[in-house]
Amino acid sequence: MNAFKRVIMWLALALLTALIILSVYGAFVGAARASNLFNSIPMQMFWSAITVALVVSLILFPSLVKRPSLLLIHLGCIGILAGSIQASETGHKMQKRLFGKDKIRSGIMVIYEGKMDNQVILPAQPRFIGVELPFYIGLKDYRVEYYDSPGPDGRQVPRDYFSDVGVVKDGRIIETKTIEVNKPLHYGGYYFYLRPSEESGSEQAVLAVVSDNGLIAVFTGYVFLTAGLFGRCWLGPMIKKDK
Amino acid sequence: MAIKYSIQGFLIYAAIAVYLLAFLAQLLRLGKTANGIFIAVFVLSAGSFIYRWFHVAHIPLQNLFELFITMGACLCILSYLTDKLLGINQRAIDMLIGAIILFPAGFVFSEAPQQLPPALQSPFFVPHVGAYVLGYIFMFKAAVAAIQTIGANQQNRIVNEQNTYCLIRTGFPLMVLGMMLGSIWAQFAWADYFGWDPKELWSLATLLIYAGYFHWRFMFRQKYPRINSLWALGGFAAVMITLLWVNFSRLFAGLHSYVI
Repeated sequence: MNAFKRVIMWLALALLTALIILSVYGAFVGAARASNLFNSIPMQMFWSAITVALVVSLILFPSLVKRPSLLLIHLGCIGILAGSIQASETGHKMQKRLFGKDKIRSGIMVIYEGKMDNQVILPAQPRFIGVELPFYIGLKDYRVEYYDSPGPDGRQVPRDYFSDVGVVKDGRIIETKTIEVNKPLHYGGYYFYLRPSEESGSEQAVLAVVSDNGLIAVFTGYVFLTAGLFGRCWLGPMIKKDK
Repeated sequence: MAIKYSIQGFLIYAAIAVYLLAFLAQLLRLGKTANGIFIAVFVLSAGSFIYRWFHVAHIPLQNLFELFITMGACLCILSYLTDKLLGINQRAIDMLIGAIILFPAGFVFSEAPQQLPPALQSPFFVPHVGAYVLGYIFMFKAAVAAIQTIGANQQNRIVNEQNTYCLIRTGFPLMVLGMMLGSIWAQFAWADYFGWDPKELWSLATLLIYAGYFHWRFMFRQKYPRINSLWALGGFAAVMITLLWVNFSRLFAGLHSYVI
């Protein structure tokens, strides 16, 4: 390994160490503050630096490209980081500026039974701000199923929450679905999740609305990374042994 | 600390006793007798796992009590497979670790069955936790090999260092798989594939430490076996924090608190 490549490897170790320290710090400050920290402007620059370092490493180390498993591992990391940048608030703003596609990152909808709505309330705003979706979500029914036997405290334990909803566009029902926990509705570039809470009740349901930006890149990155690791760490040694 | 007067408790205590017996048999090199006790360990630890499965009507991975029972059963199988497939024989220490793992299940954690909350009723639940359980066991074994590396003479140090690397290489993809599956699950359950929850961040830190280990070892190979071992032990310390401290400490309240 020549001196330049050694410098790159030390840089990789330094970035990993910095990320380890930041992760541990984030674990102590709680999810909300950690989320703010990791999505802050300096951290966005840090994520971008890691992405660039990964791309540079692919150029500088031909062995990373020649070996499919190592290539998959590093491409996977690039995919996850690129997807996360696209999914961030800044990613949404850039999308609007570059492609004119205006999407909210996340918000909530409150829909009454038998009604439909397209107003999304944005989070963490000093006052109520609603953004209109280009389609409506109608709520037919909201219900909760409980386990037959009560929990240790004697109270009923929910088994699942259900929301029968429909997507309405131009006066026509485009899609219907029963949203459950783990089974959100995906339509128009957004995921709609049932948010079981005290706000959700017999007459209304609260839906979390979340943009799907970057998810394909992130999940493709997961597949690449995991496949590359199993190839490198499991398959590679097995093939070597056979030879 | 409380004794469990139940069939589940009996199975756990019997498994602990036989694990300890197997440890002694391995130390005394009792040959066929040791093998026979090893089979008894497998039957009892697997029996404890299967009994719990039937009792709660789902694979026992919901809380730490069930997680430790599952680890106790898996350790026995992985000890055998590691010996046969990777050529790393840690049978004696594995048997001691098995008893240590089952101890909190027998005396510390509550065995009261809990109903699965809606979020846990997902096809990702078992593979997410299962991959982590297997990965953690390999990292546990790697940490043992790392300690042996630090304490060994020059010749054995290299062999033990190679064993550490081999075990981490086997466990790391499982831990990454666990995290990826958990992340996809979180996207469907909690609307975010990474929620910056303390357990998620400690898991990320753990994976990054092992990623650092691989980069360090790529740079220096076996030139500094003790430093390689320190990376492995650092990773395992992070595993322990992720598995236990995050769930017990009030410092780290979050999405994963229900697993206590």
